[in-house]
Amino acid sequence: MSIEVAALVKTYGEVRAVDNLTFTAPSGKVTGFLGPNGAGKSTTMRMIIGLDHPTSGCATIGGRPFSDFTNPVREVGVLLDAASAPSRMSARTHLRWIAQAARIPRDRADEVMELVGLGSAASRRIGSFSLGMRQRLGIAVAILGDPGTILLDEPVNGLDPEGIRWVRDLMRSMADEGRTVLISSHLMSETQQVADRVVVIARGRLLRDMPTKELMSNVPGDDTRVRCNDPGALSRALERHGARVRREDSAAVDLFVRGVTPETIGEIALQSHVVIHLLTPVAADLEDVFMQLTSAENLQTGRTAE
Amino acid sequence: MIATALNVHADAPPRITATIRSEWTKLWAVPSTPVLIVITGVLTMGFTALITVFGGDAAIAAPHGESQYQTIFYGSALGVFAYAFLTAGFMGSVYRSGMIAYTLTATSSRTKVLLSKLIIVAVLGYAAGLMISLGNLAVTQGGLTAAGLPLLDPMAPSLVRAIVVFTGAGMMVQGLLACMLAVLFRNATAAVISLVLVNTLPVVAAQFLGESYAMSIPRLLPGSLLESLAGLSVPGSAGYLPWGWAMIGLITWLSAIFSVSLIVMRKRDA
Repeated sequence: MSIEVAALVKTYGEVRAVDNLTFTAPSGKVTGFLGPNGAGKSTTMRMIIGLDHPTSGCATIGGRPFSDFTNPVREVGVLLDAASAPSRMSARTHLRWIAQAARIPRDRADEVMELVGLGSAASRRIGSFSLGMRQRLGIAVAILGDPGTILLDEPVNGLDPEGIRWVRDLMRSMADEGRTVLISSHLMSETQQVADRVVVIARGRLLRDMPTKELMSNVPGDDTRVRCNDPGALSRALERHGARVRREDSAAVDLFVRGVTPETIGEIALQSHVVIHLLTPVAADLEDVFMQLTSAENLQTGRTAE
Repeated sequence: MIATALNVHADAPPRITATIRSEWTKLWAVPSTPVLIVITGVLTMGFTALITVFGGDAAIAAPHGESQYQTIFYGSALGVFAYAFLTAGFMGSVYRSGMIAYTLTATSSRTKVLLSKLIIVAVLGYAAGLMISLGNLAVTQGGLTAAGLPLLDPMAPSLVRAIVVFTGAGMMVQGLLACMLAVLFRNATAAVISLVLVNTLPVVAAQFLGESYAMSIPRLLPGSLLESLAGLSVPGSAGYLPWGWAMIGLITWLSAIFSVSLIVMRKRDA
């Protein structure tokens, strides 16, 4: 069941927290939901799962609002705020009351506790858990009903590298099984590794909604990597044309050029009688792309999704 | 990777009984619940015991113009409001702690969640109140014996009515009102304070607002209606209503507050 958000608006008095947001998180894919603090990601996710009411627009899962699900635990798994799990309750009891509400066998609680690596801590009070353990518990809650759609807000907060890899593999496997996975995260590197698509928002507005690879290829990196037979001559020629040239160190053979296009570099090399061996734009990583998209300039010009 | 060896996909969707079971589990998983129940019992029976032991014959014997059974229920108000604090916390705490997100993602119907909590509050309140009433009766009979006074007739219809109705119905009704007020305030303390004010301010105001007010409004308050229903109000007194009208009054209170709390719970952001 895909997640569809259509013209979603949420206002709090004068503040427009979500501003005419439209995107789709398709089934069988991991969709990364990115944005700076206060962009409206959590507000959007809360509206998707019916905790908050939209001012206008709609958010549906499989074409239905969340309130229409008679047994939501079995169809939509949610991790919003792991810190809000009841501190005086044991982890096992916390999972069991949710299982009771969904008519899921009690033993499933122990099963998912083992899956997330909390089997030995099942009887402990949640208040004694570390942040990472609470995150794992939150993920356990999300997968308790074996749902077809999963929404995870900052799922890797507080996890160690092994835990981060486990979550990444889990999301990948769920998507490969045909489930819909929507994750919001501030960790760009992790999102880049696992997300098939990204939805980028800022100030409640959509900036990009596209496959991750397409996003990375459409936003050129600032540098062009050049390898040639005479780096010194090419470097001087490029700098005369206003380019900025750097090397990673004095012994490096590759030049990183900024300020001119690859085509211009090729022409300057030809004019300087320099033979080009390698000429390639340096791919920006998702963090670079994210910073560009959410820069003040982009926000002021109101660029939106392509 | 998250596949289960168990059949988690049963055919029938969960009904309200599943929600009630889950709310019951949540209620008793919190250590403060049995503590507050015990405090409720201790407050009511303890107060009755104090009066019985230290109040002397004048306190135990039927005061002129009041019901002969008032004595055994002196402490009920304390216990009732202790229970109201428990029920207000049962609702208010889920908002304060953020647990409401887990609750409403486990059960998407807010009506079902509210009704489940109210059913638990009502049943638990009445059962605990009935036990406390019987405990109060035992304490009073012991005091009467020690003082050499005649015992209350436990089979007297009016005493049975008072035992069965007053504390049990009081805890049930005031507990329900507190729980529903907690939906509005999302705070247990504010809900209980509001409940106390609703029950007491109009009575306090009666001394300033003339006889027609004093003879009409205070008898319509939840506490007065409960006393009338339990037969503890003396006919002709300012707090008395025939039991049929008292029942209608209580149902009106509960229906009105329920309607408002249900609308607020469904319309307001969690």
